[in-house]
Amino acid sequence: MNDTSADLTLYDVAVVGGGPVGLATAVALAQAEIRVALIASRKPYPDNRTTALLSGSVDFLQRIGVWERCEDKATALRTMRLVDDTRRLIRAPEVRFNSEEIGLDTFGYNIENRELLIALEARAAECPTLTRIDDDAEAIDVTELNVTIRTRQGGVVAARLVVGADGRQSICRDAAGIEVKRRELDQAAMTFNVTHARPHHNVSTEFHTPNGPCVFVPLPGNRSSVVWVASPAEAKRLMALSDEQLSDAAERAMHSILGRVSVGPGRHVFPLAIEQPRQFAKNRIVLAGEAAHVLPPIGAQGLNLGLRDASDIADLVIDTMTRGEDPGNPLALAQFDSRRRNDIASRTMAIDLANRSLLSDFLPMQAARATGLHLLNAIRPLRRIAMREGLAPTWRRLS
Amino acid sequence: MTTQTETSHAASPSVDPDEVAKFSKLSAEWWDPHGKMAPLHKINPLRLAFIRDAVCRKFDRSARSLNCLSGLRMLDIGCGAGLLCEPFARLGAQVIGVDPSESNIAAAKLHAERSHLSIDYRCTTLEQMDARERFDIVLAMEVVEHVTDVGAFLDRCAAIMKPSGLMVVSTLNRTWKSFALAIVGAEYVLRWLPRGTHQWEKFVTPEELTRHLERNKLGITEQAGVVYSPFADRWSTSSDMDVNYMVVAESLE
Ligand SMILES: Cc1cc2nc3c(=O)[nH]c(=O)nc-3n(C[C@H](O)[C@H](O)[C@H](O)COP(=O)(O)OP(=O)(O)OC[C@H]3O[C@@H](n4cnc5c(N)ncnc54)[C@H](O)[C@@H]3O)c2cc1C
Repeated sequence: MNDTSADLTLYDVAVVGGGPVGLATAVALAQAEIRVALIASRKPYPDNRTTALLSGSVDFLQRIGVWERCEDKATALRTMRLVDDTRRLIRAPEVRFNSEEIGLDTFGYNIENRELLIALEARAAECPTLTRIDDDAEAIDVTELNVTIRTRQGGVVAARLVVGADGRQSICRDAAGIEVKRRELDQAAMTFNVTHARPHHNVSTEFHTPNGPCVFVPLPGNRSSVVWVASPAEAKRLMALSDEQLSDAAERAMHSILGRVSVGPGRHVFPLAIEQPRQFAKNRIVLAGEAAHVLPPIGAQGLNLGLRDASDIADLVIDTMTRGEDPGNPLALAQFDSRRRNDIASRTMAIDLANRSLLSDFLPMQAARATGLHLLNAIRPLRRIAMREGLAPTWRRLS
Repeated sequence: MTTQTETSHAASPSVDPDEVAKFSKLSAEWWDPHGKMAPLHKINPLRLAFIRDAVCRKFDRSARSLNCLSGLRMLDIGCGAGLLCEPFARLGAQVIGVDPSESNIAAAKLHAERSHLSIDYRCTTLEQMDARERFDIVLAMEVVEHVTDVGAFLDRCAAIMKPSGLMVVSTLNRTWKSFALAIVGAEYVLRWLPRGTHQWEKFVTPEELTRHLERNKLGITEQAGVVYSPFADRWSTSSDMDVNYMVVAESLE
């Protein structure tokens, strides 16, 4: 390279945030020998969230050499089962989707975020052009030709492009001057993991309760992760229960289909909100992951969408840089913004609709689209019910 | 970037003084992707990829490498403010950019310095360059339609190119379609370049180009038309060479 920079290293890209999306983006870029600074302080993973990775995400993780490191920690999802427990949906008390029906071996894999992060960290450590800066970004200054980041401990990093993967309270987003539309949902998601007496047979089950969906997603062995969406008051009540009481409550919610349930250590509550930034890229900063979209944890979209951000950003940066262009140039940023816009907007709308309609048909929809097949027949009755529920206007209002 | 009024420029048989003055006015706007040169910024990725791919084929490099042009000496004739020079320097080429306009060169130098790139910019013409210099790659992008004697100009290009080298020429074809589009459509409607930067009668047909190149024992090994779709606001390569086109020339021996 003909760089004559003297005072400080100018990276091609600086990634801020060491969550799954930031790490995946940094690895995907570094794998193409792009000089990446990953600004992320090392801290233990704070919660016990799990992620249902859909097939596109697994392909991407395979391409960046991460999947082989965590495959054995992941559980295949072969059947998705929706059970209505609201007594409001007359026509379809239970719907099952099998992955074989649409020619897939699985819909995806469920994995604990912690395990995914361990694999990502290990892969990141072996990329020669990836420099890990074990610190937090504190101030970000965008100039015409690059971005300067000052870290908490006083370090300075300059890069031509910044990937803001710094989560919900993204300071990168603020630095780019991007506003966020935020809508609080009067719901909270509680997460915990359980052991159950009977095997799950790779079936993920969503019970739709009047409060919101309660989802059991298979983990290795006779274990499942639980995401229980409820009113904030109900979530508070559940949080206060003893392990034994919560085990009983969970078993009741799932009608004892997996036998006796006992909750494992650790539970967390996430207030639900929908957040949409007005742009996804501006002023040499592109947003990824929760900085670019916050969705209710329904239909396993959040991190899958985040990994698509990572994959798209990497592809675009590689294309730009193999032409010798500045990866943060305004035209590249505009291209990125338009490429992510449709995907994120449609997914946000769909999730919002699903959340309101209590019909998470989007996970199989997603899988079907990936193989070019359609589940229209299976889904049409659900759609009709959704419409009968009078939820179509929701969709229109959002579009 | 400051705009300077053109006070002097290298005198040379192939450079038309009026042409030079017109481009100099633009130099400050060169690097603004939303400014007057917006179309050039839009078309640039296409040109960069075309040239990179041709060079990688010729010199047996991988086009996916960030260093694919390393060690190659490249001359960009009529480099303007360095829209091609900078990317190719990043890809590892040793780039020499020449332009007869002082303000273009000034703008180019300033930008390269701020981008931490070392590029040898010279305010000169092809004719005034040391006749012993040799290059692996010679670029004449959108210049032949501005020179007074296309034949003499291409003779010089061929002479300065190493026998093992490669030349890329892009220009506007002299057809009725280009007359309508480049003059009426492109310049006024698509704002390809500000009014008056091109004169249709100076456009060069592929046949003329071929003839001049063959005289220098060079043959065209690749060619592509460059077309604009107004609805998508996008440039793409095409087999239609009636308006914009690019060719790659190499030694026939
Ligand atoms: C209850 C629940 C269940 C979910 N289930 C699923 C699911 O099944 N499937 C799915 O796909 N998605 C799911 N999601 C969504 C998914 O968890 C998120 O999309 C994903 O974790 C977001 O990853 P991220 O890397 O963008 O953000 P985060 O994981 O929030 O990472 C951001 C990182 O940036 C760091 N950071 C912040 N500021 C700075 C700074 N200034 N400098 C340096 N670092 C900084 C933080 O420390 C953190 O490490 C769920 C979400 C919830 C709440």
